[in-house]
Amino acid sequence: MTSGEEASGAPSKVRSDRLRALVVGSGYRARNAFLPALRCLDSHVDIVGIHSRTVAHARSAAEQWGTEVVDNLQSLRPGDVDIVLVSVTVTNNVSVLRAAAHLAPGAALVIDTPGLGRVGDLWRMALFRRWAQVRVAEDFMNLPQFRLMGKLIEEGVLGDINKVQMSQVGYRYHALALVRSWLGFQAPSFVRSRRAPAGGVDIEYRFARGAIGEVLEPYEQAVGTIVAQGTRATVGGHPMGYDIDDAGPPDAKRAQLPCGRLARMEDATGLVGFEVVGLGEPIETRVPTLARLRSMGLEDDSEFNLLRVDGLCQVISSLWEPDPVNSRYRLEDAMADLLVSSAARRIGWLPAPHTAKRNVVDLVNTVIGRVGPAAA
Amino acid sequence: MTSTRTLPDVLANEGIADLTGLWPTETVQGWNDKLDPMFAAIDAEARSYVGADQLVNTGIFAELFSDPVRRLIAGIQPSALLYHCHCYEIAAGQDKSHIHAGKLQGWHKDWDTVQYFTPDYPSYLSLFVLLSPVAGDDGPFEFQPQSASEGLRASAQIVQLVGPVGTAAIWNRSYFHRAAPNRGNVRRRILKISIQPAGLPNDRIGLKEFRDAFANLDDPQLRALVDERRVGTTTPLPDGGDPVEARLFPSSKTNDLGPTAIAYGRIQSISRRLQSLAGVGVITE
Repeated sequence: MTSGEEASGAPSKVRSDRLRALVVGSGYRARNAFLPALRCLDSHVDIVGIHSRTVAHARSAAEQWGTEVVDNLQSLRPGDVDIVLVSVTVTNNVSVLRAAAHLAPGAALVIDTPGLGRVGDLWRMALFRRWAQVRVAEDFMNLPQFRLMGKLIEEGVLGDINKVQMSQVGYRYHALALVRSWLGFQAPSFVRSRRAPAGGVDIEYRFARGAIGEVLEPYEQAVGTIVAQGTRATVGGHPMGYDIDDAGPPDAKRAQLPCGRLARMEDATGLVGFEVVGLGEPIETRVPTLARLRSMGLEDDSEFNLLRVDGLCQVISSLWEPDPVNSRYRLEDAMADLLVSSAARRIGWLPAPHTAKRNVVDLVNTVIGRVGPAAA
Repeated sequence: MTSTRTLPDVLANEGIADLTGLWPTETVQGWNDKLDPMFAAIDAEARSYVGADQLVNTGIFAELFSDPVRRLIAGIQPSALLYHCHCYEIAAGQDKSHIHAGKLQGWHKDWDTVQYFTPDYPSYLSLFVLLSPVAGDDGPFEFQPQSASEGLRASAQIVQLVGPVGTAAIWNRSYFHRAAPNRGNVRRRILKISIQPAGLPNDRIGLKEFRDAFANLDDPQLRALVDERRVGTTTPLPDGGDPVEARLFPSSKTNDLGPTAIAYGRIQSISRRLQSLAGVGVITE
């Protein structure tokens, strides 16, 4: 598909015709996220088939989405597909990647987070290096409301970010990925955690220059609050943009910083986008995919899921459109976020070793690259 | 020997298949008529080559990659790109293999194929067409079929590519193979093509012989085979093709390797890996 990974986020060369996509997996995520996302992107992508070890499920999904069942991955040849999207149980990723390895040269891989689920899988990272491009389907940090907040941060409206707080909003490594995306993808230096009074674990990630990411549990998906506090202003609110009494963190109030509030934009059909109010002119983002997704009659047509599908569209379209977020968030980042966020739940105080450009997974890979299997 | 298995299946799991007849004998004889004076000018060399650019200039390239051949290639690898394309001769009267003669009697894998080797699908393939008749002492190509993942075995069954002009085979470069010594009194002449998916690294397609070949070709279907711009992409060849049935090559003899030679080869392999671990070398296999 392309001639290698781009470092700058700039689009790489892409054929002018539509890209041919294979979906591996026919479970909940494939049916309710990957396939709908590809349908939304059908001006750029053709679904050439669905492969699943449960053929009946694959057949059912293929009928629903008007595509073919691929019984055997060996029936596809190098050059038959441009993108392979993998959404299977994480422990099956290695076997799927082995079976699809012949399709990798020149092609792109989109794989559900966290890519590899076991520490021992690090030994098999060579399987990923075969692909011309790899995208991690980290849709949480791509939710349109969070991308809107990220845009404010990127444009410097909030000043330097010194705290991100998620209360009931952030799930484990997804939460850490979002925090890091707002902090230029720096890795945490160390992590503190404690049992949450209401259940779960509260985790505090500490970054260079004193920035903090605070993830408070229990996780409740589309409720709670999310706040990004900078040196000049704060923005936050309910993650779905509903009115809440008190979105601003006490620090911001004490500092009397301007507080922007995340709000919903609705019409007769329901949600159509988000805006941030309270920081001068409202800044908004529209989500045009919502109308199309509502018409698909998905099993999970919850608003939150539809927004996640929109986020997944961002991930996939970053293969051909400039996208500094998804082109920078590597598989190694997703795996490091999994390792750090999982370890933090068990250990109260944890240093997270990294160098300026290499996280803990990169460091492990360097060692394994010398002793591990070149071919999988 | 015909098979109900497809060519990709056989090339992944047996490693070699028979392509004799894909190029009519009179066509191959015509190539030799053009090649004879070219090789006559360089026959003092132990190995002499006529490259892809010269094959284009003589018209051999266009006949070599006829419609059925292009369809056969695209049927295995829709995005195929050339890696080798030349004719070559090896000297007569030799008692050693002309390549990798230093160990294991010349038996080797093409180690550059190891990094992206895929056990279930053939990624690195070569096609040989005999341009001179080859008998057992004339430096025949030899191949250990059945599993690329297996090591070389002592007294293993092997396939020997012998026959008249026009005899042809396609084989998986990740399997063990060798050129037997050309003990005969005639230089052995072969036409060799190697293909691989365009997405794989290809350090040869940028060579002058391929660039010149590209520059001198008009037919877009032929140009695609040597188009350096396709490296790193999934761009398929314009023709397309479906996998065809394979014709198997029966094993005809056993290799001459003993257990000691095999053990020595394994020690060398382990030694290379240990050197790499110690930072004094690079794993090349």
